Amino acid sequence: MPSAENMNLSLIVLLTGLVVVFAALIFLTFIIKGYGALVSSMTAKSKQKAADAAARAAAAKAAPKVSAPVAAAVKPAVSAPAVQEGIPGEVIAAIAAAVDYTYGTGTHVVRAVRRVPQNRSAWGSAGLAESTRPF
Amino acid sequence: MNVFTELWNSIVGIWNTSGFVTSNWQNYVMILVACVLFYLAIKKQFEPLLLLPIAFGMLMVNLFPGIMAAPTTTMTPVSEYLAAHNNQAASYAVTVLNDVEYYMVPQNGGLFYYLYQGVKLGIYPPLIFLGVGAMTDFGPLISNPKSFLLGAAAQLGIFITFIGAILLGFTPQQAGAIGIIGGADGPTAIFVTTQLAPELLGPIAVAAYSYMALVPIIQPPIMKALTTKKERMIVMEQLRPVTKLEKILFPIIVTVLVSLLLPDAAPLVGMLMLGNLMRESGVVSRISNTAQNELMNIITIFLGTTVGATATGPVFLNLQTIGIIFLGLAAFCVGTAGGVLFAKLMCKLSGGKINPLIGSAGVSAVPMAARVSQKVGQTENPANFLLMHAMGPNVAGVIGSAVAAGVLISILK
Repeated sequence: MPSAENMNLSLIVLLTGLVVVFAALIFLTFIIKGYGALVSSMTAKSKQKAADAAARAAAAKAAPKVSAPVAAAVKPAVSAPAVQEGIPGEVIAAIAAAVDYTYGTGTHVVRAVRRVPQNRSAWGSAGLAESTRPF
Repeated sequence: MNVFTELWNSIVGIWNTSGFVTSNWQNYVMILVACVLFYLAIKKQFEPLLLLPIAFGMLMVNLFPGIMAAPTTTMTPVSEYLAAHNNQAASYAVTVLNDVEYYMVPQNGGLFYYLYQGVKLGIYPPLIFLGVGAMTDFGPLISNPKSFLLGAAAQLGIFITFIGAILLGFTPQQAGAIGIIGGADGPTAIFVTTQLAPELLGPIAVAAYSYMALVPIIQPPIMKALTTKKERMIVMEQLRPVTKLEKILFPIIVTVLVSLLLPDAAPLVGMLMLGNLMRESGVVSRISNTAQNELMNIITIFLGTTVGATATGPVFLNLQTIGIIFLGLAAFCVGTAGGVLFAKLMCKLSGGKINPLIGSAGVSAVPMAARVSQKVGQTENPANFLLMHAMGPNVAGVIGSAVAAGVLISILK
């Protein structure tokens, strides 16, 4: 039978353990939430600044065409991208989603999708890249 | 005639040192256990990367215990040694006993003995964590920080099992080491056991890794028993995208906070976060690749085989070990239940926005536990994708169990 001292210790471990683990992780939750909000607001501010600058530049030039990514931020999705024949719709959707995810919503526009001429198979290229990667 | 006698004596000598004579029934039972693990690893593909080397280590040590033997020193009479070595003196230490001089000739230990030092000295677990960190995307956790709570709730098993182990008569240190099996994190379990109860390292490591491999069998019945069909069908909202800056800051912030709060958890959490920073910074892709591939694979081979090799029949087949195996299972089950029940509570509080199935992923076992959440969720609703949502609690569980380990070490050591 365990001693009363050990049972006492069990309770201490149970309570301390749960309290400390929860406290530590709740603390981390707030920290992550806090800096997440901070980073988001900073990013939004910088985006806003870029958009304002682009708008000013556009007004100054009074020309309809502005540089590609910034213009996209102001006027997203102008027209459907020019797609080379033989590329299925799913691939276009995947490429568009990847661009959207990587660069952020509404900042870039897919204007054209075309195949890059390739003499070597994808596997061959991957193998070549792997074995020639500099050390 | 003399030649035949010598031949016979040699054959008898070889037979007497063979496994057929030196092995006992316990070794044979453990060989059978190893075969069952082979079946689970190869046929059922339950964490084969872990289970296969563990099973092979178990097989090897029960066929040839000498592979784990510690180095020894034998006393050889100097005269005998010189006669055998053409009178060339050696530089071994000399001891005189009853007026006879002896050379103290050191004998090397078995191969696994040396590889096992990485386990014994607590070197492999942090290195494994380095690789885990380099492989882990903390994005789901950063985008939904509430997941941290599930990672904390699933540590309940550790502390409840601690009490169970005390009730069964284990010392507090041993109970702490047994409880940590509930963290479902092999490296953490090994790390804590080497600090608190090194004598139980074999059974605890084998139990922790075996249960981690058996997560797809252990968890689903508990998850189904504690949730309703309606809850299991909940489709969760898509996670917000996480910026690169957030991902880079995360490992630095967690390292600073956890190391300040619980220095005992620093080796594990620090290495986990170092691996993650190497991944997310994007400037050291070569060492990040090494950490998540070559280094991780090498350590897994050494860790798996030597952990398996601690399971020798006579050491493993006793009541204490069986008690540890059952307590480990209980820890796992309670941890899973704790996570699911807390997720249920969060589901209620959030007005049904959280699927309670992701709670079970709070018991580390990355990424198997998250895959189990996904699988159980999809059996109810094939259009439901819980994987990324479950990865949040899953990686929070790794941090949670490292924090729990720090608590146990700081109270019990």
